[in-house]
Amino acid sequence: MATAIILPKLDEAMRTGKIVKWLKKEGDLVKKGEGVVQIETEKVTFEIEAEGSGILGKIMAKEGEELPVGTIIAYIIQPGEKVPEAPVLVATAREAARTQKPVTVPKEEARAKVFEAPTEGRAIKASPLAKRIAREHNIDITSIRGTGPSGRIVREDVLRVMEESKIAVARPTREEVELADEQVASLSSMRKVIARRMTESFQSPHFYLTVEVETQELMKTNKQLVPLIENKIGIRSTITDLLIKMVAKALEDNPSMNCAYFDGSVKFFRRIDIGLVTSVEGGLVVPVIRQANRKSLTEIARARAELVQKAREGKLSMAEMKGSTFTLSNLGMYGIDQFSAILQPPEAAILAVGRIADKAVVREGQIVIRPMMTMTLSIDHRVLDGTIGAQFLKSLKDYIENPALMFYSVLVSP
Amino acid sequence: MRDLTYREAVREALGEELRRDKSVFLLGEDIAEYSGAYKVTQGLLEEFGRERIRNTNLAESAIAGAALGAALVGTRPVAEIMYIDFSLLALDQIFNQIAKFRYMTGGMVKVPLVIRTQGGGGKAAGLHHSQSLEALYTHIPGLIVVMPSTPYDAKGLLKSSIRDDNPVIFIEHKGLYNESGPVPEEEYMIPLGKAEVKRQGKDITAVAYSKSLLLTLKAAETLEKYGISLEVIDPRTLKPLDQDTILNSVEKTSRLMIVHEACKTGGFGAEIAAIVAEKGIDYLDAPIKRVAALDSPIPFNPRLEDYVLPNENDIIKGAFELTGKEIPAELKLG
Repeated sequence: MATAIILPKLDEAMRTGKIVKWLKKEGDLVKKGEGVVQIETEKVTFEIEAEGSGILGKIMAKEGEELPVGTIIAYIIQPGEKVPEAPVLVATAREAARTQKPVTVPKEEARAKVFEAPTEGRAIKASPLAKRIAREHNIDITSIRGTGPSGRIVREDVLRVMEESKIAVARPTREEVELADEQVASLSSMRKVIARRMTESFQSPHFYLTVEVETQELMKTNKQLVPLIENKIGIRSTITDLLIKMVAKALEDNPSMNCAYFDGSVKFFRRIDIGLVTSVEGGLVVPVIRQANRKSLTEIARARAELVQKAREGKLSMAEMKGSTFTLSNLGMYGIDQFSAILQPPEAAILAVGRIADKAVVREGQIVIRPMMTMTLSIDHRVLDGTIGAQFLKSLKDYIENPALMFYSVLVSP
Repeated sequence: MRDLTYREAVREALGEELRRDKSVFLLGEDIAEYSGAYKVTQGLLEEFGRERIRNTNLAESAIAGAALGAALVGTRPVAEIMYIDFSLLALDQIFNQIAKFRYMTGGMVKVPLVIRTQGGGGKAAGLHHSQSLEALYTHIPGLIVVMPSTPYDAKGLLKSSIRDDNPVIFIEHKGLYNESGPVPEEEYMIPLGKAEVKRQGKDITAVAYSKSLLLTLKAAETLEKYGISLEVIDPRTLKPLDQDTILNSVEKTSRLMIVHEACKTGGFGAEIAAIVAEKGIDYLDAPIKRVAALDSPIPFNPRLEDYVLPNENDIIKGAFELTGKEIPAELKLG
């Protein structure tokens, strides 16, 4: 029987996905487990694999097209079989409803499922006109409450939803964009997210605390550890790894820093998950190093290396980018002295780290040369104040300048 | 503009065509001295004489057959079949001969004849004098089927029917003969196959013809007071049907109701519904509604007849159903 390939919902927040590239053509033989199409979501690119073998029947979505989750984008058929026509919309609607439940994403690789085309079950009651409008505007009809006779979804219901969600705003066609200006390029999904999140973020009241730290000891520690870790796991640990570990420890010491503003209240996190701003082609992503306070430096290095690698290849899953409680952004390797980062909502703080450079500093009345690094903490003033930020930076500065302190806990069990 | 009754309008069309074209003549049961069962041909015998206003014997098959023969030799007969119920006696002539002759001869002959008849109930005329059988005729290729609802349309369409070179089944309604309406004194024609929007509206397209059109227009007035706006379309010619006018209207209103006096099953409303389903399903925001007679012979008893035939309240109820609105209690629709 024909199986539908459906744009899966990988994440509760995922509303749409963009068809990047069809890896198979209509009429191609497809083996179970083979990649069929590349999909880009707001943050990840992944491949949908065939759940069964057959022939790729009809491709129903063009490359570059952005579609709502639950849309049937192709069918895999058996020889001699025809692509089903009529039940497409109903099927779409029902499948979307099914995928509304959170889907667990396998850790190793985001994989999408190919669902069986449904042959039984109750259809969504919607008028043909309502269905057409929903189809034309990429609206998931199952998300609409019907107010027509016996709960039927009618035109008015779809128009109401369009009004509410402003989906009605038509995206300009490529022709329109080209006509307007040849230099205009549409934003990638990632850029759109960056644009949206940063705009949102900038509405929260930021303030900044800057501190200069001496990194002689940090560099010495790093130098000692790099060969040990490299021998063990084949990965070169970095200053960033040490900073992640130290930030995690400083957050443990100052738990009130590890929080987020949520719609009029503040949420304190017990877990310490550090987001690491990672630049990729065309933008940036923020993979998360989980439980950084409980991980050894070796584990952090391994996790960081894997995540950065995946990020560069565009293979990060949504799960790998969600739920950081504090974010670290290091532009030191690009020669930046210092900078201020914009908060990653809903987090209440982000640390921007500049390069390490030799500077003339005064020590015991003498001008000496020391390797210095400038860190700037951006804080959401709705939930945090300068003193808390200052205490956190003090802890961090202590660890950087004197790594031995990492083994001293300010928390004493009673 | 002067008003004429439907009866007078039909009579005027016949008179004008008889006067204009010597090849036009009438034949039928008791149409001369008696002026026909519904007095449509009154006064025509006096003006045109017995040669052109011809009584026939009581044999519908003979009337149809004679009309066909006359048409084949170059005249333009207008035959009257007193009741559409009796036309069943002439079906072999109509279906197998009249409808097919032009095709059988590869177009070598024309069949310019009109069969005027009347149908419909509401007059307690009984089971054999009250039927609405238009769907029988629309099913047969080769026939044009006209069903006018107003005096104006009756006159203009009958003149076009007489001048057409193909056989036309022209179905009047016994309940319309006394209805009057404006008819201009100057000559006019109404083309066959053209529907007319009888009332503009935005919520529901109501397709109705013959006497049902009047019911629908009345219902539309009531509905307007309750915020439901009907766009009423009279196809006027059922075959060929003006599909575009109906589809354009459904596109605008997104709801379709069809009202006719014929029984629902296999009625012409099913054809209209099917066309809209085939060509305009994406316009529809509600299921298609047919308001039609119950599937029953039309009872003799007037109360039972009222019960079986569709009425204004059925249309109003249907409209509320289509829009999903509550029927206000004060309407007392029963």
